[in-house]
Amino acid sequence: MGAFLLELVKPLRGRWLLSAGCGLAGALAKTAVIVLAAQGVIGGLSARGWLIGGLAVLVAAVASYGEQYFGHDVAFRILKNLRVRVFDHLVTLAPAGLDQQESGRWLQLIGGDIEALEVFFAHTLGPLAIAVVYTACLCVVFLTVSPVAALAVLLVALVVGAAIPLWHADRVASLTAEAAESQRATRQYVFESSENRRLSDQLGITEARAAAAQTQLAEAGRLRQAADRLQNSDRLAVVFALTGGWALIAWLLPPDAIALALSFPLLFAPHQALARLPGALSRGLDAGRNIQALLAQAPVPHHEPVVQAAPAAASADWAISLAHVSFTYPGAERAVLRDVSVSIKAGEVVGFVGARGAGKSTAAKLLMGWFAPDIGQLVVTEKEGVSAHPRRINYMPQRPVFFHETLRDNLTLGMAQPDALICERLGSLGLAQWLATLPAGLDTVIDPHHLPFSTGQAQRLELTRALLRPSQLLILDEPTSTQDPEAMSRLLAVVRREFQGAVLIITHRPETVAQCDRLYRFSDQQVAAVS
Amino acid sequence: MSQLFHYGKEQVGRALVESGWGWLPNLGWALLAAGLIGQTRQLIWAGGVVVACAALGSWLTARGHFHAWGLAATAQLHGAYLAALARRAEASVPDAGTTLQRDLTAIDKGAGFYNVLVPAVLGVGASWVLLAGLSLWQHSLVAILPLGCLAVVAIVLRALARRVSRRDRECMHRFVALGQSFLDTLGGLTMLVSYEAGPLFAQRFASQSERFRHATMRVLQTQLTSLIAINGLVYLTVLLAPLTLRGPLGGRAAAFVTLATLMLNGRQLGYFSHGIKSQRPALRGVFGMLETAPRVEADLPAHPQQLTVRDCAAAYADRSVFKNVSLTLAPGGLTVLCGANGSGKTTLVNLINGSREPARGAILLDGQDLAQFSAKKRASVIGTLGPSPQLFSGTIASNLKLACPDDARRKAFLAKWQLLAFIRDLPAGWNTVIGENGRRLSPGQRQELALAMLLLTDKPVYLLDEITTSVDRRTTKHLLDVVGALSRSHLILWVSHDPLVQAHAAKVYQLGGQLTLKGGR
Repeated sequence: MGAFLLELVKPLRGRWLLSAGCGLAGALAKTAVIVLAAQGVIGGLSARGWLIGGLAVLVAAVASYGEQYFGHDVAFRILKNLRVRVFDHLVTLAPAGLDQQESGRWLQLIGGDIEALEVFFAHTLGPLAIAVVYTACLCVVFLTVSPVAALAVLLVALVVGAAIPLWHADRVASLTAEAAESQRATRQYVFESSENRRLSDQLGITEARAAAAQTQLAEAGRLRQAADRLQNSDRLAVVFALTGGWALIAWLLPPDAIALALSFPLLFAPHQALARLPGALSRGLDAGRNIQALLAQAPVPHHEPVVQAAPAAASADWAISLAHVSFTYPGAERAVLRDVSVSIKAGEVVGFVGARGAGKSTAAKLLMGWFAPDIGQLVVTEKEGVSAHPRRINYMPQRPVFFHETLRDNLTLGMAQPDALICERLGSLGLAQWLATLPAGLDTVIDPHHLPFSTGQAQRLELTRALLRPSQLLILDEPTSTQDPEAMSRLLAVVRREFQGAVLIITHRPETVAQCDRLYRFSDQQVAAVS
Repeated sequence: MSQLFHYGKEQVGRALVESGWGWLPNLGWALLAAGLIGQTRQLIWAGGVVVACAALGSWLTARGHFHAWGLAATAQLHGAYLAALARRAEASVPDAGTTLQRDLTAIDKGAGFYNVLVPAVLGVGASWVLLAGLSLWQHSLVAILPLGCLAVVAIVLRALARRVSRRDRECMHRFVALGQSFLDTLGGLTMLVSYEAGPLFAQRFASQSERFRHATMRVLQTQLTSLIAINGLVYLTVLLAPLTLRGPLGGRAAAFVTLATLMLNGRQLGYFSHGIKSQRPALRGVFGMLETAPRVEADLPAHPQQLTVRDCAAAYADRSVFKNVSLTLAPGGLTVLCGANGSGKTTLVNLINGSREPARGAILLDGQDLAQFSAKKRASVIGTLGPSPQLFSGTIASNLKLACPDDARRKAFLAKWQLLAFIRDLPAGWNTVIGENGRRLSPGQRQELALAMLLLTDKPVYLLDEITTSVDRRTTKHLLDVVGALSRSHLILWVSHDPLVQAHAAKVYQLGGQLTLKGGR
């Protein structure tokens, strides 16, 4: 765990050293001010003393700015890098690894958990280093007066800065982990309540869920409070250590060092900072473990096809096929497909039909390489040197997906496409009129929670997206389910006209079946070709 | 921010006692300083006893109740906030990202106000009173020093206030936006990956994270600017202490230690207050939500016999969707609504269930105008299901149980109508874990489960909008039989393009600018 976090600091060690240096200078300056003031209280201060005191005040003010600024700069850079790393990792986990998706928890990971690590980077590493060097300096100062007193100082420093926090860390770790887990679970619950508000209204359970969420939040609060209570006993232990140390030192120190004796309980600010740390730090470490565990999750590798050269007499440039494929979902007992072969060529429209659960969608996922077949092969046949991508597939899901971006970006997904082409595609799918009603046209920002179009239109926009990206295979998953029959045949006509590659339609509608050149009927792990 | 005092009031006494014990060591230290540095040895014992008593008292109180005020106040705030969310109409509730990132986080962090900030202010105040006592006794001006320091700090903070709150708002906004875009992208990640747009969106997320980092640093800069002033002034005050102190050494020592601890604790206060203040924009949002009073509504008829859409019109912006639509639903047969894409079928459904307001016309349930009822109230009698249903994570059984907690009735209903036949093919059967929003089920299975849940709620009116788009033929026929049978006693409107559905209808309406009766049995 520590190694994982320290690795993140490495590239920023220059700034970190700057922060620690400033912190040390600030801590020493603050101590100087206190000791000088104590000297002033006891016996008056020389002009030089005042001058040094004034300078120390300046250093104390400016150095703590430097310490905090650079320390947090390091921390926030690391946090940002971690956020990006987590996100990138989630992208590599998609799509097969997202079945366990729990958005509320992941949001907590990206937000609260990563933020909790700030404690480690900004308030632990630096202060620890500062406290060590500061203790050495303090001991040297006391050594000049009395070696035994120096030993007592070291003892108090170790008790306050090391023994108490370590004792605490030991007791608090499990409590913090429990509190953090409870918080993540609560976030997930609230997330679902919020996302499924329409459903909970229908079921009449909105109030009940709100009450349940409140109970969970109160429970998380109680766990945090238990951790805080431990912190309180630490505070008391620190007060005891300082008070005892003070009495001892006042007895040990010679009368001419009385200023040191007076300021003694105020000299341990860096150690007190460490003593306050464990609660927040254990939360941070727990978050770190959580993040590390996610980053360690291995993605399901995208399955790459075997590429074969097309025979000279091939009728098409490109074809994709599953050859004698069997497949069982990870963790499932029964195979979905057994010794199945299908093939789709450029220029034809092929339909997958069959009852629910017969493996139509699974076969499509195998074609897309989301999963690797247990037995058999995914084969792409193409003329040599025809394309850089042996397989580029556009998949139009049943449930439309839109992002909080402009309409243009939603359609191109960031690929550079001229507006004229986008408008032309929209027009050919019968959306020109609708586009004209949008005040900002293609620049209209789409709010995924309040889509400014009907489900039928959403599906045509999905189709527009698919037609805008050059690919060899277009997979339409129940494309016509929300279209009226006439619109549907028009859409398929557009697909035939505008799209040069192979088209695969997964459907159960007889009207759609009629539009296909060839059919594969899926039933009971098997596939039969129907012409 | 003063609203924060309205919560957890009954625990304020405990908080005062807790802060009192927490402060008491300061008094002990003042006595110790006088005893150790001055010559009155008895004071050492007095100081020691005070510190020991304080520790014991603090420990004992913490065993019973600890941070009780903060705990009670945040629990009440959470409760009030969640209740306000539940009370509000679905359309006016903030999205999940805002609720989680902004509001709940702000309430959690608000606990610091009760647990840390107020006790610290009280402690500093008590130390000042002690200092003022010493200063009166010694005829010194030392008690003026902290006041002077406070005045200058206040002026500095005041000067920075506007910039701070602007940057706080900006930072909060970026944090919420980051969360929203994260959730948004997560929802469509499969699409992005299959279009090879994953890296691009990752890059966008990276630049958004960078903008958030930038905003955080800007907040930090302003906070640190004020901390330079606070640190400088605090240590200057400590340094100036010798100039004001008078009287015997023991008294001076006590006053010095009191002043120094006061100033150093006061400096901590600066850090805490920044932490709380940075939550101010979020807390303002939370309190804004709490202020809306609950709407008291009359009851809707429990067994309505007629739903009438009278002369309704709908428009988006200035574009008319349909006009003069009149329609009556009554028990005794299925009513199906069809029409071209974008003709406003879903809009009509939304007018009936209250998600949208009609531009003109009225919707009556047994003669009662629905306009006076909120969408939430209407949901108690009107069940609506769309093509992309919502489901709760958990198992199939746990979802069904939410719809109908009565085991016997639920089982009897499902058996009677032979719903959810697909469960027989699942290895885990009823206990199949369905994942967030049912993502581990196929779209068709999701639709079937959602329909079964809706029918289990046994509402008198159902609006079904393209609910069989992913369901296979055989199941569609079966669902038609079930819904058809229910339509004898329920008011049911089914929106569908499917000729099969239309063939089962008693009445088929077509929407296209206006509503026309197309046919029926």
